[in-house]
Amino acid sequence: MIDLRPEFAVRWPICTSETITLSNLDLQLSNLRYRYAQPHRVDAGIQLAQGLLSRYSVSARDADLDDAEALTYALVDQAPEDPRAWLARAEVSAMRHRLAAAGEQLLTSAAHGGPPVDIAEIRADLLEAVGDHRAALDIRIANSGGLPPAQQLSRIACCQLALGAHQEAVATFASAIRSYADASPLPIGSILFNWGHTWEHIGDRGRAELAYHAVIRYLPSHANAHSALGEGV
Amino acid sequence: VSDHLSSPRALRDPTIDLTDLYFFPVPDVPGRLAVVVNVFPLAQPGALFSDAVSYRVRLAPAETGADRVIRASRADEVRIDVRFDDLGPATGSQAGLLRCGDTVVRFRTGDPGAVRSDQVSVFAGLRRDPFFMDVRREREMRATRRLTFTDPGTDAVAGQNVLSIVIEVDAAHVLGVDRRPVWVVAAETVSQGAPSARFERLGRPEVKNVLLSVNGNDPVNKTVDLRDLYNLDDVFAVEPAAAEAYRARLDANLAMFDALDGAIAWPFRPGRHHPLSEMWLNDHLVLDTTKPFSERGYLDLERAALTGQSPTSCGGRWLNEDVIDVLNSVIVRGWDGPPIRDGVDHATIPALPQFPYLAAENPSPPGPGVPVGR
Repeated sequence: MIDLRPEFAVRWPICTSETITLSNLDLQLSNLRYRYAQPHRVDAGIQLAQGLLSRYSVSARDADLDDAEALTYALVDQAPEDPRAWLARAEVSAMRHRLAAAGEQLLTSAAHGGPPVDIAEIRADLLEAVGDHRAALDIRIANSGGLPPAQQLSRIACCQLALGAHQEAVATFASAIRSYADASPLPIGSILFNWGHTWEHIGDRGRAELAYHAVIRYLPSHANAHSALGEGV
Repeated sequence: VSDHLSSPRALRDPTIDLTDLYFFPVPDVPGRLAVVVNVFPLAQPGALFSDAVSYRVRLAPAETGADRVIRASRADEVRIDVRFDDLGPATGSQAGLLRCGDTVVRFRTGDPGAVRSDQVSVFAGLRRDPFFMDVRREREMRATRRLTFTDPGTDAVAGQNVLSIVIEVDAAHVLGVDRRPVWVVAAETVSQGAPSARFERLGRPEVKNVLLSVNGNDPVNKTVDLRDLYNLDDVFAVEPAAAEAYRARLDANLAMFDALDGAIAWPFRPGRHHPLSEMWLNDHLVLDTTKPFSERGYLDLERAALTGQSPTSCGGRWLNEDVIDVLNSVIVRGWDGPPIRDGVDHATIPALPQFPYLAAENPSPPGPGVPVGR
């Protein structure tokens, strides 16, 4: 049982070990590299970019983010009409904190018929990055059919927390954990890290540390969680 | 591809992605049955089972209803659960535990870790994917609404591996001595802990990826991918509202397939369901456990039930059977029409008639080693 706070009583999901998850992810990335190298496999390139970002979320190694960035440059060159390529490009730009560029790339994706739900999610990320949590929350609530429920609810919870609605946020976050329905620890690692980061942002270091420790229970080598706790990996 | 990559959730996590299910009498050994559950499409050497997932086989005695469809009830089911531990650092393999009622079998992944016994044998590990199919032509067929297969075709699965769980049981020990002859089987990946979440379920090949695929002709859910929803259902107790959605999709797609050759093999009136929809909805393999092994049996018991004719085999699904040709022939031409071939008639290296049946893994499957283009 992973406890974030005494009043936070949820049943924590059982997830695949980090060893198995990262080992299998490496194999998947190898497969996707091969499939992307086949002509006209933009779909494999987009999945590869997503996989690299997943690995980056644990390792925080610049090489993965650099690879993902180079790949998304190549994808928009290769398929300039493909909205998914622009969406992937925007996601990487957002992670690089190039917010204006990410916004333009989202517009390009939308102009080519990109999926409104996915575009809205990244737009909400950008709004959060500039501190407009109210607008981000409105988008995330309106966008409830997009991401799996746990990821969706946890993002809403972070917005609520940033806006000062602590009780509401904790309840939403508990719902997110209850509705988690994956075997992989990668999504729940991101959910918990963002939850901790938001607590830290509003000045509650104690709760932030509880969340970071919970991340490490699922993903012992999570570099950003260790870093946030002031530990080396 | 059969059930490979068969839902958005499965695409994110290959350890939960069931690819195929097989159910057959053990060749030349009366009273023994084998179930093979494959997961992890395109598995490379080093691929690992999840230690947070129960790989579940659900067996249940079957009855033929008034509508001549074979069904089973979860009240009578026999469950076999297989779980794995984390990778053992010293061994490079995973410890596994098979549980079926009071029977518990401990094993390890890989050939040396397989366990043979009179009651239950089990193997788990990397093997050649026994499935074969021309995937590109099948997609083209749906896109163009024409039969586009060539001879020979191109096997999209050639040289690929999967993680396989092979279970061989003494039928009397596991299913009972005074059992009904006909049993069904389905496989699931479910979360460990309580309450458990069902990640995937699998009965017959290509139900999710072909028969429930989005082709723009379903008047109820024109563009909705139903596969993740489908995976949530209990195979023996599908939610009525969800079943209606699947019936609408099946009716529309089966009518589309029936029209591919310009002739109608399966007439049905507006407002009624396609004659095969209910059979596909009861998504499990069906085997007569009292009959001997047969290389061809897929859909045979279902055909016999629906037509009133006698079965010609044990049914079930053998590893080397060309189920895609059976599928396409039945849905386009009917039970007795001229067969449709996709030009891929067998796996590159077929399965063997002895435990653990599947050919040894390909140490260099198509896939890795090519750098990302920049």
